[in-house]
Amino acid sequence: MDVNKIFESISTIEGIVLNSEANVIMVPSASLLAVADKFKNDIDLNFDFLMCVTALDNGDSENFTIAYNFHSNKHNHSVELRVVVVDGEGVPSLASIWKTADWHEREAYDLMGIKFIGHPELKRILLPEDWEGFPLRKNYKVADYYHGVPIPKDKSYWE
Amino acid sequence: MSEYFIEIVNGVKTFLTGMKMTLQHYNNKEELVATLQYPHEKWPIPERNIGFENSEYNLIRSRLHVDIDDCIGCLQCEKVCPVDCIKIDTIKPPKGTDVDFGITSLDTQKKMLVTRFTIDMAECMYCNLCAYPCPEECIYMVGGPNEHKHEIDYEFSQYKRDGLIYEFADPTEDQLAEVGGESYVESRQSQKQKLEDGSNLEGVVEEEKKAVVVEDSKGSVKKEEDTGLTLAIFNDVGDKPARGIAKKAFQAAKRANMNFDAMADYVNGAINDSGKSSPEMTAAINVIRNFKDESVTINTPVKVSAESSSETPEFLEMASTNFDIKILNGIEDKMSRGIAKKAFTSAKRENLDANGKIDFIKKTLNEADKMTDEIDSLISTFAVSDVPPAVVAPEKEVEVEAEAELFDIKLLNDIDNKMARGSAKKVYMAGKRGNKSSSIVLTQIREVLNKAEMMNDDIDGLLKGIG
Amino acid sequence: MDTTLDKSIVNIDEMVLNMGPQHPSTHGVLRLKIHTDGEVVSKIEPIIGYLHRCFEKHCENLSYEQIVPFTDRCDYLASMHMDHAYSIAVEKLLDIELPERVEYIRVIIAELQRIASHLVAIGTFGLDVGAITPFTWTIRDRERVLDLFEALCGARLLYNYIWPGGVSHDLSPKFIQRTQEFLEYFETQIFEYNELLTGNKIFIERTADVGVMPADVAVNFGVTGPSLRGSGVNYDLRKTQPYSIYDKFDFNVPVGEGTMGTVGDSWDRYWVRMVEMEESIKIIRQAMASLPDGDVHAAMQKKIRPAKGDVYSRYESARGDVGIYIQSNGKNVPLRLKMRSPAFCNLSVLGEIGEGWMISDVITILGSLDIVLGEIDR
Ligand code: SF4
Ligand code: SF4
Repeated sequence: MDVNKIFESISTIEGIVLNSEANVIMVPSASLLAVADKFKNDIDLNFDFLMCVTALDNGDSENFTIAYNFHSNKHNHSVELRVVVVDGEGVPSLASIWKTADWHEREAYDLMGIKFIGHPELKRILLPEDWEGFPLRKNYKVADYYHGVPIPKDKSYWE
Repeated sequence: MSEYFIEIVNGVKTFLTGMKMTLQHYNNKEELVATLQYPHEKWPIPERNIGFENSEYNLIRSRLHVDIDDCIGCLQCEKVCPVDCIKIDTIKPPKGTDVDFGITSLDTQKKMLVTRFTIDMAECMYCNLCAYPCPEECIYMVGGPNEHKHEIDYEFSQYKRDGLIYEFADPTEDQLAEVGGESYVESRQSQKQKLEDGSNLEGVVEEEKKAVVVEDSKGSVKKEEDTGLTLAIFNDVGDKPARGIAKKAFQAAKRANMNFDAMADYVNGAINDSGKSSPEMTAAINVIRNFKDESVTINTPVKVSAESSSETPEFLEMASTNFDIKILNGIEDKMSRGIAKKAFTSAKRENLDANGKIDFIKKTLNEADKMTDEIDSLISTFAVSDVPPAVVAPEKEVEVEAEAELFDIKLLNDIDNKMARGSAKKVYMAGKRGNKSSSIVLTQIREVLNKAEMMNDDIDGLLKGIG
Repeated sequence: MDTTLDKSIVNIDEMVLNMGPQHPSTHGVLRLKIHTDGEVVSKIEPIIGYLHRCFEKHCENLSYEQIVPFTDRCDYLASMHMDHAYSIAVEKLLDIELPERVEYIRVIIAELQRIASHLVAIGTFGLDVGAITPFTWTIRDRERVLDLFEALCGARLLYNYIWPGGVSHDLSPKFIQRTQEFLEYFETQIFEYNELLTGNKIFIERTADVGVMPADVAVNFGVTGPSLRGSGVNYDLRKTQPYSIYDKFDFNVPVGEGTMGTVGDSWDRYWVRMVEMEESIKIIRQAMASLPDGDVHAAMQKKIRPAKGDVYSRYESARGDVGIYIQSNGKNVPLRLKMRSPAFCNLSVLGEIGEGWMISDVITILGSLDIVLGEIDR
């Protein structure tokens, strides 16, 4: 099934738009759970794999895009969903439907600072608990010190 | 009861025997101690044989090397390095001046002077990305298919991390003066100063700052100023053109090997001719005049690096041959220098020894009609002595001699018995360290093997064969 | 004073055990917080991030060519696969055609790398359950693959060999001959491993029926690669969505069948890797037989500057499905690069399937998942 067909089969859900240029389906965060439910349980779609959850900074560290890549092993087709979210607003968590989302959403929270509503344990995963800021944001500034240890920023020791 | 005392006596006796043994070893460290004083001494590199020939490799990731004479300063390699561990500075000669920098071995005309080419091998991740874009093929990983350009460097251990910062360019003061590099030298100097103060180490607390000195990679002591005087003395002079004139005059005087008084007079004359004298200039000239009483000390970058490398010259990588290409820098005429260097490199590729190289260079120069008495005497010195005193560190010298006399340790590999082979090699290494000749070492090996009753006809024949 | 313990306040049945971050059987700097009741594990919390080095942030500051050596350092046991996965993603973004020879070389190299990587997996798995000899044997044979790679590109671990648009060097002289020799030798070795490990009674006792991962759990957690196939799911990108030229070759995708116990136990995961090495030999043989002549660099612009757009590409590495998401804004550096690392998802299932086993079995399960921390933490 290609992306057009997939879009048709879920087109009853409110607010979704097909971006035919990039071959992705744009979903408002309010409808995400409904789409996910359909993806998982519709026999024709049957997306059993959630491959990847990618958080993207839209450039201003205010708006973010979250890209979900799905794959169905049964029908051998894939699709990408995108959700646009403003900083501070949450996105519904998919961890209860696909367990893959658990760690991937934690990673997105850790590095990009996106809140996932309904996540069982939303805390940092790669960085230490007390890290400040979200490094993958475009406006991230490296701190001067970490636990009193200075962070060198250039190579002036030999340049 | 008596048993008790016998036990004690026995205990003391065996203890003393043990101590005697230890003392014996202690007194005879050279021969009997098993450990090597790395990195002063090294085991020979074991023959690594996986059935592959050198020619079967596309590349070997060893150390990076730059043939600085071929570098045109295009900065391609600096730009492509993902971890920014290459740093290159170049100076273009001012417009109108006609400076010839020579041509590279791929016949490209060089247009600028590379004043600095630093690679921090401690930071390099050996991705080899820098070697691909180089138009002159002058930055490369040594060894493997590049073996003819530079032999492989199996280990380049250093005591300090800064020792892994390799500096490949070393422009002479003449060259710098020629391209008008005063401001560059100044800025480098102020940068060094800042480094010593630690004023641009961001985020580092004041007390922790440490000066880092860039060491010369080759370990060869840089050409030290014969007089200890450098162009830096003129840096106080505010008037730029006057400074330039003074520096030029100073260089010329130095080249003519004048003494300090004459030098001062010469510079003074040049300044007066141009009508640019000033109080600062007079002060600087006085510095030259009074230099012999050594009340004036001038810290120059050249001096710093020379000192630091003279501390540990023997651990640093040595030039591969005694007759080094740098010696050719002494040739005054640009064209002849270029020709001589080119001849040198091709001779090196041909694997000629020092004398062969010299002959080849002479021949090439003669063909090009560039031979002068000066050049002849310059290179001929090396043909006679073969060992330039300034370049070879004492440690290496010993090794060279020992190698010349002692047979190869690999010959001992033919001994079948493992134990015997081990003992023989141990004696060999001791002999090598003690700088003994083949015959002495062979006799010692015989003695040791006889004592241990490991001597047999095979070994006997083998040792005889070596002798 | 009352010295008896109030059991309603303090849970004296449970003990929290810290394993790692420096532990010989965690295959890297991984820390496991294990809640135990006696010897039986009631909960496992993997704590990761000790090797985190901001790979994705680095990529936002490097040009496309410069990223390749950094991808090497993700999965350092199968660097070629990482290079290959990244290169395929960039090529998809650039939309370029590759010369045939490049594809063949890449397939040969990738399958050799799969063998090398599985050899470590099998060797360390044996080590984890107490068999020490196989480890030295597998490492010995891995060295021979690394020798081949060294002749190819000068490096033994971090190759920087497969580039977007080609490979850095053509095959080294005698490479084909050497590889043939290696394959012939290696076939006899697989037989020896089977004798030594696969059928060994103790090994079977330690691994069969241990850490059973049902297919639906594996799929739900996004487990991929040999670990997923061990659960009986026939999912291999080389077959289902062939990239490069894998559709030209004839090979099988082994899946776990529960030969020694239940489908999806640790032994099955081990066995899948064993059989996969044989399949890799098949692929290499076919590729070498039909290796075409030609250039090893595609015709493309000198500086990689893809058009605006996003791409998500997938690749079957030795550990599973590597996903590379690249967002380009038309400059020579990516705007964002995300790597979906297979071992990251594979490790997340440990908490689920490790519950209820003994501590020593947790080691077995962890070993059978074959994780590489460099790739998990990125
Ligand atoms: S090998 Fe790589 S890391 Fe080292 S200097 Fe060259 S480009 Fe830089
Ligand atoms: S790329 Fe080659 S020629 Fe250009 S600066 Fe680097 S070493 Fe010199």
